[in-house]
Amino acid sequence: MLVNHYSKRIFNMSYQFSGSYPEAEDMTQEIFLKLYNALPKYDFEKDFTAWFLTLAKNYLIDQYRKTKWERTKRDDFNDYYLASASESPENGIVRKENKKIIWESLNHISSDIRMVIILRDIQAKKYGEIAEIMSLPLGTIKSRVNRGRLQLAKILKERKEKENEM
Amino acid sequence: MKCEKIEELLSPYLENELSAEENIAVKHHLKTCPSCSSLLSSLEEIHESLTDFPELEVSQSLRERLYALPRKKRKFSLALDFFLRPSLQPVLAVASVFFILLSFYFFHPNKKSINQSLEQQLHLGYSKIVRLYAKTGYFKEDLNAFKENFLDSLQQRKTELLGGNEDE
Repeated sequence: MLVNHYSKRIFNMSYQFSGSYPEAEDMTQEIFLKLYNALPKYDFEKDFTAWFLTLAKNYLIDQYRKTKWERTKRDDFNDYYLASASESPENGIVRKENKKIIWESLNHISSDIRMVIILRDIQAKKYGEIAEIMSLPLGTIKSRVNRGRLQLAKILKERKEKENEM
Repeated sequence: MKCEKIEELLSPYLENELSAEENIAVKHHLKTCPSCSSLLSSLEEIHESLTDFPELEVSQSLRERLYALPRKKRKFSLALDFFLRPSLQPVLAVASVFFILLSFYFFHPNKKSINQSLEQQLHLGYSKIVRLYAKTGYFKEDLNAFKENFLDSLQQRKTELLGGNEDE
């Protein structure tokens, strides 16, 4: 069934994109509603998962553009997710802080670039798959991923410098 | 190579997507440029951190909301499909025109004069109908008279014919 198979994926994608748990729940519901409306138009020759993810991606980016509201604050991440088992306590604290900054910084980059970073670095999708979902050429995807990572690195550097000054 | 160019190559460098020549150039630059090698370690950290991004479970309440969607959608779409049937379109068009005219009447500033003229028209129409009905009454009487004449003449003709035969 569609809900069993895709709800977790879509919900996580919405959460990774929006950074808010309740918003991600509402968005998941809207995406499924869109899916049910769009099902009659589905071309059976196409890969269903890619088609559905494209629909979800379009909704998330459209929603972001419609609201014209730059949401930069994400939900707080709890320590359980931030902790890294293999680190020494000292290194662990620094890594934890950096991880938090990086996750929070996702909301500081543009929606188009954020989406490819989510698909590539969080969901570990292949460039070909991302190109299909985003309906963009492979070269554009690679350059967006590179740009996104550089932007995140810049934010991380600035935040670190700010903390060192304090 | 300049730092700007190297920055563009660092991501593909991490993913082993560079040509052998570019790979050597980047490695060589990284040995001599602390800024780019610091950027590289940041990029590595970013990649690792994003790989660790938490994967959340779907709550039971959301799951229930999602299961309920097709039922809701079906009810709604059945109603919508009924009203959007092509065969209903002329009816809907006529109904819309009717309601527009009705709204003109209700919101017109000279509603009284419209009422008066409507009443006049109604009276005129009614009297026309009465006249027409009276005319049909006359016409019916004429027809009856014609029918009687015709039957009489037929009867007469019949008796004439029968009388002639008897004579023979």
